[in-house]
Amino acid sequence: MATDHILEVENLTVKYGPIEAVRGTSFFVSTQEVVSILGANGAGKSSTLKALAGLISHEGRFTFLSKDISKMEPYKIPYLGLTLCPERRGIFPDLSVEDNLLLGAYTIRKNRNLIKQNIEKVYGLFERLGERKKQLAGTLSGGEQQMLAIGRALMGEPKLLMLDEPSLGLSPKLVDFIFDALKTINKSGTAILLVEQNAMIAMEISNRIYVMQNGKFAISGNAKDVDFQTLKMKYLGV
Amino acid sequence: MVFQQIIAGIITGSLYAIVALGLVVAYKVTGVMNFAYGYMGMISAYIFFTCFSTIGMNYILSFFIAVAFGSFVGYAVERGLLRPVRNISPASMVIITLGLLLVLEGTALQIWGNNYQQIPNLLNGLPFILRFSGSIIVIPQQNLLILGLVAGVIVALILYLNLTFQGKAMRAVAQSEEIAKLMGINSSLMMSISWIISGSVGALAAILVAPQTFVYPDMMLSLQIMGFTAAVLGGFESIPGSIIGGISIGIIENLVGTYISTNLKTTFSLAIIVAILIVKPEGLLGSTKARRV
Amino acid sequence: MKKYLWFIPFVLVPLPFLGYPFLLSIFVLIGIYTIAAIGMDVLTTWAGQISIGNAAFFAVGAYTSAILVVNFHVPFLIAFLISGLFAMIIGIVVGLPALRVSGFYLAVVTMAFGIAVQQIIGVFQITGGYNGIRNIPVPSFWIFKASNPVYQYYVVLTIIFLIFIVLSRISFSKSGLALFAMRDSEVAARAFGVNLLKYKLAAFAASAALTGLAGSLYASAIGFISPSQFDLTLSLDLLAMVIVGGAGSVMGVMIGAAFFVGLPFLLSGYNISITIIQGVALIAILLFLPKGLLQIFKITDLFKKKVI
Repeated sequence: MATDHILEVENLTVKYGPIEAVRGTSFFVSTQEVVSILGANGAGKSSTLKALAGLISHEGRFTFLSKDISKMEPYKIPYLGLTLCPERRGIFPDLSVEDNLLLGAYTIRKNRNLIKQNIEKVYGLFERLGERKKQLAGTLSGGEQQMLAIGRALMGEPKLLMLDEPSLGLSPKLVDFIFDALKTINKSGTAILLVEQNAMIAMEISNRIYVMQNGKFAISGNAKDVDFQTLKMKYLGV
Repeated sequence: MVFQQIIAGIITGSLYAIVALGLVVAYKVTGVMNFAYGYMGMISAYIFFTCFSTIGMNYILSFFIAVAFGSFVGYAVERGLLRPVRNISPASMVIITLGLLLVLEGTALQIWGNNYQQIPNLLNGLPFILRFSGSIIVIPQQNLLILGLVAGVIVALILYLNLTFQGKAMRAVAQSEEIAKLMGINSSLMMSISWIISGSVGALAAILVAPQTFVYPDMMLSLQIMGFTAAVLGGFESIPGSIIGGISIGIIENLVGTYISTNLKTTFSLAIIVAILIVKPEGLLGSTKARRV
Repeated sequence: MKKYLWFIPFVLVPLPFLGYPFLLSIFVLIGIYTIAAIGMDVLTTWAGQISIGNAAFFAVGAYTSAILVVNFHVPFLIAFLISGLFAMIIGIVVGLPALRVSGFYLAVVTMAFGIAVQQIIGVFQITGGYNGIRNIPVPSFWIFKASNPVYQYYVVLTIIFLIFIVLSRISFSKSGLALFAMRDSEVAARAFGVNLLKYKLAAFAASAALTGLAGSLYASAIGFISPSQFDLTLSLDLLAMVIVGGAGSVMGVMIGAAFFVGLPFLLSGYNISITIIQGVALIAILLFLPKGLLQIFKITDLFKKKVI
């Protein structure tokens, strides 16, 4: 157990009734790394993140910053610095952009100044959000909602940010923009665990990748060591 | 004369509005439509009666005790009865609240019996008299108290939900419990709080209406139906919806009562709900997004 | 289904010959509520709708029958049928607008409807106002008067049996299957071309008719009706009979009716409010024995949902 692993996962298993979506996978994320879990649809990637966030039942053991969070109640996990940006954005449609961001800071709600600082940082990173502070989040475009979701996740200053398919439904230009933002976020000290179907863009920003197939990892290694074409043909169902 | 009725309608309408509010808050945060709501309030009215008339406590003290009891009932029902069975269908949840209605009605019958108990108004002084475009409007002091308290509660609720972190957290839970948890929000706690609010509001409504209706097991039935009507009118969605729904129904009902017949109030309210739902099934102010049915 | 056929001749038919007239009157009452409960069952189990205002149809049936018999000296059988018809018409009139709304709202509307009817009855002279109608005579069928509980019992039993047969026919017909499809998934049913409103309305009308018929029998059996008898608690009791007894079968709702009718008699010695027990039973059965008390008696679960 290396000391710079902020997330360590041992033997994670997720079952939906008789179906095993994730079968005893083990992986880790180190400080300031960007790690991607890739794979075709239904390979079990989303379930992995949901299990880590405590949203679905699972077996296995995982520690975050050396604390065992396998059995922890989901609402306590963000307080430790592990935040999930869920699939399909998961913003609160009937609340304003600003309220959404404020809720992202729920874990640090006692610290007014820090909240103010962080909200300015988010508006700095995503200008379009700043232009629409009072707008209802449900009326934002897909790209803006993704920015909001990420911005919201950053408000609590997570040590590890997990994202579930951020590129889904976005135009290539927006995808580039979002992933540039993720690079910036990573550079300022936040580790990222990414689940993506768009392997190419994910690999561009990742240090290491895992490729999931039928609930298990078929490949794992440094991003630059993996051949994209082989990946595409064998594992990504393309 | 008309203005007198409209003012009176606003007063009763305000009571309908907070009953609707109590229902909507609980529904939006926990997804349960509480058909026992009025009966929960009724028990608090009996507690008030017991404190004030039977034991002889101070009016205001009894008031507070009864409202506090109402919040406890709200908490107990959510935590003890509804939370353990959250995974059953919404229809079954409704049936459970119907069972609860019977239990509460029976409990009241058991402990206090069927007699109509009297409770006096708090404010019994000379009524306020307004002169307004030629006519005279008489407003009993107690009615002003009702209006004031209800308005106060509504304002407090609006401030709470919109300006405090906890209030926003509660709204978040109403939209998506799962995602709220991802923010670090203790959704179970929020649900309990929403029922505590709902319960105390219901108690308040019951105690305010008690001097007029007398205290007896079915005392809140009419108010509950009107509250539901108001909530439905407002689309079961929002505070503004409940307020507008409540006041509208209060005014219409009073006008119907004066100019048509006092005994058929419920019938007319029913006709109104049905008419509105035919034209707009999601309520006057409701939206057409998917609802939890 | 075949199990019940054996049960009936061997137990229910010779029951009167055990010789307890008082008990028999209770069974007559149970039978009457069974018919109303079947009406409720049709609505909930077949069409999947919740109504908490069926006491209104019970009242409509009771008052129609009573007024026809007392004021206009109409023979009971005809009054009985007219009551059912009138209740059905009211059911259609109310159902047309009401059924367009979603489940929750329907519960609200039916609740208000139940109270509204109770209010209306209390207002008018012809219904005797709040004092109700007294001295409703016992029905006479041609040559004999059904004053003997034994006759009443067999009349009610026969009616239930006839209803059973009619409903069985329907439940296996094309219409019946459409109804069940609708209950299980409105979306799917609609996809298959089922006209939802038509079937919901039919179920609502049938429910109203059955409840009205039961009300007519009730008026003649008890002899005295007043608005206070047809309150919200009655509507809830009808729903509770279906759930506590067992939805989806005549046997089930009969057990439910027996439970609720018998309860006051069983507890007459004790000082507990019956209403509390009714509420607790409803909640407890819903949570722990969702198929109703019938579950205790049944061993196999074949054909549970679709068979009457």
